[in-house]
Amino acid sequence: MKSKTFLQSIFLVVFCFTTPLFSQQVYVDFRQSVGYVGVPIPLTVIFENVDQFEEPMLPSIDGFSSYRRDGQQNSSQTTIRNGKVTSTSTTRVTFVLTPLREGILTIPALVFNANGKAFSSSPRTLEVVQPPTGGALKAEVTGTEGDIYLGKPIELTLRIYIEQFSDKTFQVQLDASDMFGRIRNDSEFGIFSEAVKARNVSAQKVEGLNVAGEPTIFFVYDVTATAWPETTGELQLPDISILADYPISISKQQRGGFFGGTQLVINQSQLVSARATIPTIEVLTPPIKDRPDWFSGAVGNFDFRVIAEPKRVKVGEPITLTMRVTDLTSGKVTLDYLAAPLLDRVPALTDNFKVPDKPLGGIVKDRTKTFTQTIRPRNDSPMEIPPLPFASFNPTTGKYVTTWSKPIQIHVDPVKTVSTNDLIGSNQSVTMPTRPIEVEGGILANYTGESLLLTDTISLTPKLIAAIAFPPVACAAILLFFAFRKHATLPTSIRKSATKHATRTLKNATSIAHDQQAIHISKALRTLQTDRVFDEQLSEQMDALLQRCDASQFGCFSDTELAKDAASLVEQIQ
Amino acid sequence: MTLIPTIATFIIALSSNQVHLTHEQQIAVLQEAQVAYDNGVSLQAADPVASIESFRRSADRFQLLIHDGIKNGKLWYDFGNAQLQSGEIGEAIAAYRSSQRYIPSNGRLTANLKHARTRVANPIKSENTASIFTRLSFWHKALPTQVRLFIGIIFWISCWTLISVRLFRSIPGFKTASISLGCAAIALGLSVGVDIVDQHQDHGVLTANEVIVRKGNGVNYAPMLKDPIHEGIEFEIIEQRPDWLHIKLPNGSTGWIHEEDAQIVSLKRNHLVL
Repeated sequence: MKSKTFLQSIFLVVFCFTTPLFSQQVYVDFRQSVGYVGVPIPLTVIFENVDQFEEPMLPSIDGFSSYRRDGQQNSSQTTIRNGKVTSTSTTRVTFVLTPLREGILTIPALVFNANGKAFSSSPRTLEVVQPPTGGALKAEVTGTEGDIYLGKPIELTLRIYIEQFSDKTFQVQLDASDMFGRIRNDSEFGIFSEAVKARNVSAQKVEGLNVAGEPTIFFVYDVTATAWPETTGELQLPDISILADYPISISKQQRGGFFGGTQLVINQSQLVSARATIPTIEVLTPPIKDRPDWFSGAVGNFDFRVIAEPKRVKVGEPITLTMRVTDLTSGKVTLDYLAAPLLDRVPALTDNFKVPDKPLGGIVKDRTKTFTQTIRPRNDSPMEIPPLPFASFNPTTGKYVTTWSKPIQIHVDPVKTVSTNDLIGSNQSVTMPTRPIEVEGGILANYTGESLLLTDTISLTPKLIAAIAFPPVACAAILLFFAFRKHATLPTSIRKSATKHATRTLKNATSIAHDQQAIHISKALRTLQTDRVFDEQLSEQMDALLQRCDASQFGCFSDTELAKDAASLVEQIQ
Repeated sequence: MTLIPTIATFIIALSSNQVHLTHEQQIAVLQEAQVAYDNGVSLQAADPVASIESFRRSADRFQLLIHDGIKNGKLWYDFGNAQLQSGEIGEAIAAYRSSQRYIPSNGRLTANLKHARTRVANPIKSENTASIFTRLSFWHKALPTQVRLFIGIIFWISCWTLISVRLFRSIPGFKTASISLGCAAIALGLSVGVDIVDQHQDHGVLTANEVIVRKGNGVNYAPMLKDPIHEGIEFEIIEQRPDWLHIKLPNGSTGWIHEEDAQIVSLKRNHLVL
């Protein structure tokens, strides 16, 4: 029994230590043995249960061009089987190899470093042949004709021709949807990718001749996309490469399920490909000739309106101009690249207003872009904001068109002081004031010195608390002192004090010097007799004691029991 | 030559939160900041681009000192000046507002903050009109906190001194004077208290050029305002959620903005600023 437990323990320990070692692996997923020139093939490097790995790099491989796909795929999986928990984490990095020539090409052993160890793949060979086209697939791209200017869209259409597949044996013909479904997902659609992904494709059936010169049916699929050139010159867009699994034969297959029956399936197909090159499209800039100074690059036909707020200001105060530019052309439009009119180049405005020369951002809504600009009157002479221009180039006529806004009546009040900062750049001379006048606005000087490094903050210090608390406390103390003092001078207080003193004297009479005892005791007794009223017995005792005191004081009698009897009397009184 | 110690101090400061500049390093960084600022001023007319670069360099140095833990209103003021000169209006206003926490009634600060606010595109004006109370408490903003506290303590001590003297002998006018001084001292104390409370109220300033105020804390919420609002606009913070701020604009409008688009002016530590 013991030996069995021992063996189980050893097995468990060995399993625990060896499992992580065996589960770490790096391998390459590359399954194809036949490839086609120009048709990309993915090669995936898989890191399994690896904590750290060096960024995988592919060496230059003869006969291939390669690049790495952006990002990496991470996944993890935890399974519980028979009470045993197994976790697997996987990272996949994919490279894309494109064969450049025909022949038997070799992918050498690739080395990848992970967890401080080197993992090597085995060499692979790939037979590369020219892609079979068979004339069944064709693609072309057409674009907008005529001059294209920066700022205007370019409409592009991708047209894909696929020969309809028909099987005479089964009397079957695939429809447009089925044929489009034969296009592979790894096709490169470039600028048309989003439209294809959204199935924004129109199809029509046309008759034509195949490569053998026989009449046949073609499906023509049209996909449109819009390109917005950002720079002038030749439009640079990626080429388009379409791959399709074109059917060769179909067969009947038993259908599963309750009803059974048969269905037709494509049991053999061949890869066909087609390339479509983007036509050369030159994006032009509007000509320099006759270009207005305030032209900001707008191409098309625009409406331009301006409003100003407030309409009554003082010299130097801001007036906000809201400029709305609306595209009047039909079709697609984007106003993201539309720049604001260059008001700082309009002399009629800059003569009387300070106009910033910073580029403005705008807000686009539908076909309108709104810009806001702040201007400041330099003096109180302007009665209006002059008509403002917005120049655009009309590609149809090839001429510049300037749209002028309406003048806006304003009222500018003079002020005594004018900010020099507001007048920076002003061409007008400023009349020197006859007496020094402080100018508003502008920025004041920095502070200097090491005092800037001192901390301005302090806590609620005891000194501060003491400063706040001391005056009322001191006042209260004085008040209390006077109250006690006042209380002590009252007759009742005096009497009470005398009685207390006399009682204390009698109680401690034994400690008084013998020759002084009679004097002090008689004095205390008389005080008590004055302040209080006693019963008859005590009064008699007090009288008797007073007589003995007199006898001792004036009759030269020595009375040794006098102090003791006085203390005894006090006890009776209390 | 001055670049080397600064880079070194940057590395020291950034490499560990616990490492602080020595006093000598602080002085060196401050001098570099001031030299860069002066250089920026001198280049403003001749080479505006180099001037802005110089102001930015100056702002970096001032910011380094602030990050080092120096809490000084004038340092924040200088930082704001450098930001304003380099064209960062939102950051400048945020810096001035931070400075206000330490030197609320400083004349230069008030003037420069006012100037920075004039450079805000499409500012949002407050719709609140000044109440009678606000008009009567003009002195609250006219006098620095330190001065109000000092005067308040003097009044307080005087008030109690008069009361104490009056215990010995009755002098005509002492009662009125002591009550007046006591009321003035309490008013000044409350004024200082308001400053302290205000220091702990979080404000914010927009630092992005155009900010969309939304109805909720996510980009999928519809805009609250028809148009975006601009850099430099100040607001109060109603609520903070991850990456989003619920704000109240000067005109009373509320909405949500992305935290990255703004800078929060906040006094994290609880202390009295004098």
